[in-house]
Amino acid sequence: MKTPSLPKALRRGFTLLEVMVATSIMVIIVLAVVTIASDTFKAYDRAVAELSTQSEARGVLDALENDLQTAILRPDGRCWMEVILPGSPGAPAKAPQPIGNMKGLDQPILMFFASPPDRPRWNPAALTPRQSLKGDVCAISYRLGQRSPFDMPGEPIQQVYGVYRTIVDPEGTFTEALPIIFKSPPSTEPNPEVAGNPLAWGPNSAPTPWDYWSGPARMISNYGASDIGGQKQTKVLIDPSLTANPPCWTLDDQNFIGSNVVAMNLTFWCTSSLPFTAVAPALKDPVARLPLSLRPVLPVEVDTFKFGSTLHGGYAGAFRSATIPSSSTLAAPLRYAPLAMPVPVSMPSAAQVHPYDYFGSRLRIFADRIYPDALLTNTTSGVATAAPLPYLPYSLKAVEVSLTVLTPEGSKELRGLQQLGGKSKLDNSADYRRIINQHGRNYSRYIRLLANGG
Amino acid sequence: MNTMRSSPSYRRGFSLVEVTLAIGIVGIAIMSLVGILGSTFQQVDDIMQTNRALAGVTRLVGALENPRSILYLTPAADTTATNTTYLQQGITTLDPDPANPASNFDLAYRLLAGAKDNGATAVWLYVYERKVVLATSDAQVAGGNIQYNLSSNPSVMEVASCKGNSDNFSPLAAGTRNVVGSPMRVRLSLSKLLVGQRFKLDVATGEPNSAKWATGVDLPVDPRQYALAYLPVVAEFFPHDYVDSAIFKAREETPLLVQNIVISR
Repeated sequence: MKTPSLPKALRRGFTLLEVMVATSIMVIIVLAVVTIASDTFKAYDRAVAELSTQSEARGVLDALENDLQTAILRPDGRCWMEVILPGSPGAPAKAPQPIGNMKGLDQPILMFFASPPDRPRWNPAALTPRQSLKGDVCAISYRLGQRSPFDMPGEPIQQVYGVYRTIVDPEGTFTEALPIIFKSPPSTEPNPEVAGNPLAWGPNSAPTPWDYWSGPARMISNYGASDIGGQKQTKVLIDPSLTANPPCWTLDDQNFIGSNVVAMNLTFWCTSSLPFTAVAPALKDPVARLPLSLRPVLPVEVDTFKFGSTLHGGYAGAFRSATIPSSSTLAAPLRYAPLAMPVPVSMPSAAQVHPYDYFGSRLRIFADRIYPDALLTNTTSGVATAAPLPYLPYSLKAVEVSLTVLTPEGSKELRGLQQLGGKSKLDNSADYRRIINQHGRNYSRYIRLLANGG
Repeated sequence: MNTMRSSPSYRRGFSLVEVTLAIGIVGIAIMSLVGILGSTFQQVDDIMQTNRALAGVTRLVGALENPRSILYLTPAADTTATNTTYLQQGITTLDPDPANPASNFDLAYRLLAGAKDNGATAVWLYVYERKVVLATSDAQVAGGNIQYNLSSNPSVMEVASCKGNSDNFSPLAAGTRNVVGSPMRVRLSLSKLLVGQRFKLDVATGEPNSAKWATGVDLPVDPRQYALAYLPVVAEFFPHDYVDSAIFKAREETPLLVQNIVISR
């Protein structure tokens, strides 16, 4: 049967003009839809990145705020707080090396005593009837580490960086940590300002929180679900080995509180009781040595003073990369970075106070003074007649914490590269720095130490 | 069977009016979608700014209790990152005798005692987050490629007065100081908590006299004649949009955040 033919007018196709117009309209519509979809995805990615990083940062910063606000700094001449930068030349012998690709500067081990609201209050071994723990002072430490989200022991890949917070219950603190701090009566220490030999006052003569955390295995209460009956266990708190299996207690899964945190930078804001020796604007640093003013004390990666560089200025070198030649380093104006060394401040005993407000490996904090490391005799400023005091007469008032948190996208890329290399550390540190730069989000919080008048 | 032939009226194409209408409807749909997206972006920005303001509150409280840590930015700060002085150096009346430095409370008192209301007498400060290291230190071009130098680039919060630049914090100043995101503009004025308080000391007796504070009343110029142990102020946070101070001071704005702050002696 023959198919009936349509009339000529209906059989004709579209003209070129019609096709072009239709195509153009389609292209415009598709472009608009693609643009909207792309913007939507971007907004979604951005929101996810912000929410995710903010959520991680908030958890860690809230914990730090609770702990530092209730931190104990008794004015009894004892060391109640300490910071160690892993891998730094002056760090204690038992200090661990930096973890993964992080610099020691970015992963300080912070140790102190506090009475946070969320401290352990019940004895986990006595459930019926419940038995409250006596005391309220807890030993607390913060450090950064790596763990696998899939909890595969010994698996070197798929490791994410994060913050570990370890809190020892009040009874454990009372029986094991506080006796170490109280061991050396401060009355036997010489007064550096009248003894005439300030170096006789050594910070090593006073025990510090590090002596507790780095010592032999301690008795701790395990509150984890895996524990049998909540019995006390003996655990090493900080182990110099990063590959010990099981890991030391401070790197236990139970203590992991925030993931994708790749840097925890601390600025210690202190007031100075130094004498008023110069009138602004004669000083290069406007707040140098003014009484009652807040001064930032910063960790540095390389102590330029210690290593004899001609470039000085604590803030200029504070967060400088070691990969840049010192001649090309730009001044980083956190406050005001003098490129020449300020003159040390004379003290009554002819000793002088170190002009720099930074530390490269260890900071010991007392209620009314701090002991940065590397306080060497000042021979480059032309004032070499007196030895510097081993401490700064500063009183810690606040800690400003800056966390760098990787977005989920950045974390995924980092883990992908770790998987390619089959290691938890990237061989090419430039890749790591690029990921931090592109996918790192910063969150900072200024936390006041109420116990020390902050 | 023959296929039914279409009448001429069915065979004609779309008219110009129909096509215009269809495109118009599609356009409106697309525009409304874009509008919804825009408001979503705006909401995300608002939340971020409120979060930043919340983070800035603690820093501001710390700064008001230690006013010597407040920066004083002059027009020179627009182009020179290191050209910075501190509040008591920029406003010398706050610390009239530097050889015998005033207490922190006296500094804060002298700064804020004149802020009788949140109008023309209010004091303006800026709170912002900044990266510690310059962007040029963070990433440099080496051999045609960008080389990232730092394993972290922490940020800190800073409080600054731009009194020396007519209360203007310029985009240039923000650039030279590596400011992250929008700075917060903070309007400070005396709190209503002062109303009804006996605020003035009788110089002869050392006791508060009978005068009671009301909005608009001057506080004593000398902090020693101020009777209370604290100074309550209200801080109103606004996102800084870099408009001239003459404009933002004159316009009505809803603050992102309002915070009562008590500065203790």
